[in-house]
Amino acid sequence: MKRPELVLMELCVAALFIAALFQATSPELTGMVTSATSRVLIIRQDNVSCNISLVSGWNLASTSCEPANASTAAVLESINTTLISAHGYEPSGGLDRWKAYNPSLPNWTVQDLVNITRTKGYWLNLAQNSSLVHNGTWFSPSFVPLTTPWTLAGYPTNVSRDISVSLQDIVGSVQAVYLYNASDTADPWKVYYPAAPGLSDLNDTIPGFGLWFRVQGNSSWMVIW
Amino acid sequence: MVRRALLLVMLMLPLLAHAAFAIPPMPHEFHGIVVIDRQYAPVGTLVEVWDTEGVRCGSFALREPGFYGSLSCRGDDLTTAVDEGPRPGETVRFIVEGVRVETASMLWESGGFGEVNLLLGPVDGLELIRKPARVSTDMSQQLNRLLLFSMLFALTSGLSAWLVLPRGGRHD
Repeated sequence: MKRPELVLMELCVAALFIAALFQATSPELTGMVTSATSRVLIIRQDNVSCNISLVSGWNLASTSCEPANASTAAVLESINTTLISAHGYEPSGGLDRWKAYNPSLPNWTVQDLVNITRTKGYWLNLAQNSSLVHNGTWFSPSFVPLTTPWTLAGYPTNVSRDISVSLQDIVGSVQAVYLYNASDTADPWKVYYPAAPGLSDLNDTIPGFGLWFRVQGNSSWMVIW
Repeated sequence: MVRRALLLVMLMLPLLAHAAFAIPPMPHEFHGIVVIDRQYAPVGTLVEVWDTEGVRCGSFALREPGFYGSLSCRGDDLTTAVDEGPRPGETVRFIVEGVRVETASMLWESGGFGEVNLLLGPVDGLELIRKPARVSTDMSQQLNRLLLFSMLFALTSGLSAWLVLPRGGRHD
């Protein structure tokens, strides 16, 4: 029977060993012990330039990396001349859940979409096709909070995945997922019902797109880069 | 046969319920100037927007005298029995401190923006709306550019004068 101090010391050494292994392959790592006994969460991260292709009209978009300067004006600077408006959704916002930003409004208006983050999706209305480019940091994994009943979520990765694989950890709480692909003018809305895959036409989660989640019970969606 | 059809309907019910989900509609955003009795409305003045069925869809308490917005007027969720706000194309009404203000017809649109100036009291209060005390973003940027150009002009003029004009005292 080992002494508890020895077991704890062995766990710490194992955690350091795992962190060192990741350090050898990844430019930057953040280690966090989430439980005193067993779980070590390794979050990888690196600085990148993020690029999202947008079309004229409404886009349901998200950025895959966390912006270096999160202010809405800074993140959207590259599309400022074509941007009509940007809208975010805060499930905890009471009766005022929508936050908006419109660069054409007079400077005395209070614009309440203050920041852009990788874990949220946004409606962007554009006057013409554009590319949104900003500097930021990618993280893996990222945790996207999902709130009952509706969340406008981001998809913080640069990898497309089969939606059943993407949602495998949270499928029990998800009722429906919606994606708006403005390029598909005939049928822009795609939907995925976990309980009825046969009725679904959303097959993949795709970088650059925001997702509307309809969920029962709050949860956290882990997205791997 | 009937029993089989009933069973099929019962099996389909949860799916039909899923299909009935409606994504939250974006609100219509309003902003503008508020004048009461020939003066800009004071800080704290409450501007409300209501739909034609008597539902308040949004409000804004002024944070600086005379200017409100952006005021979010949320729309109706068509999948619920409750009327949460206006539907697309429905007229909205503006109320300032409990008093309805007559405006041009303003139709609600999801994701729309609208400037609606509000006047309570004598018509000559319109002067404050026509010549607002504050300038818009575009105008302030133009003023900044003008100031920068003036400074550059002054600097280059001074430099030219220093280079061209004779220095070192008088020549008799």
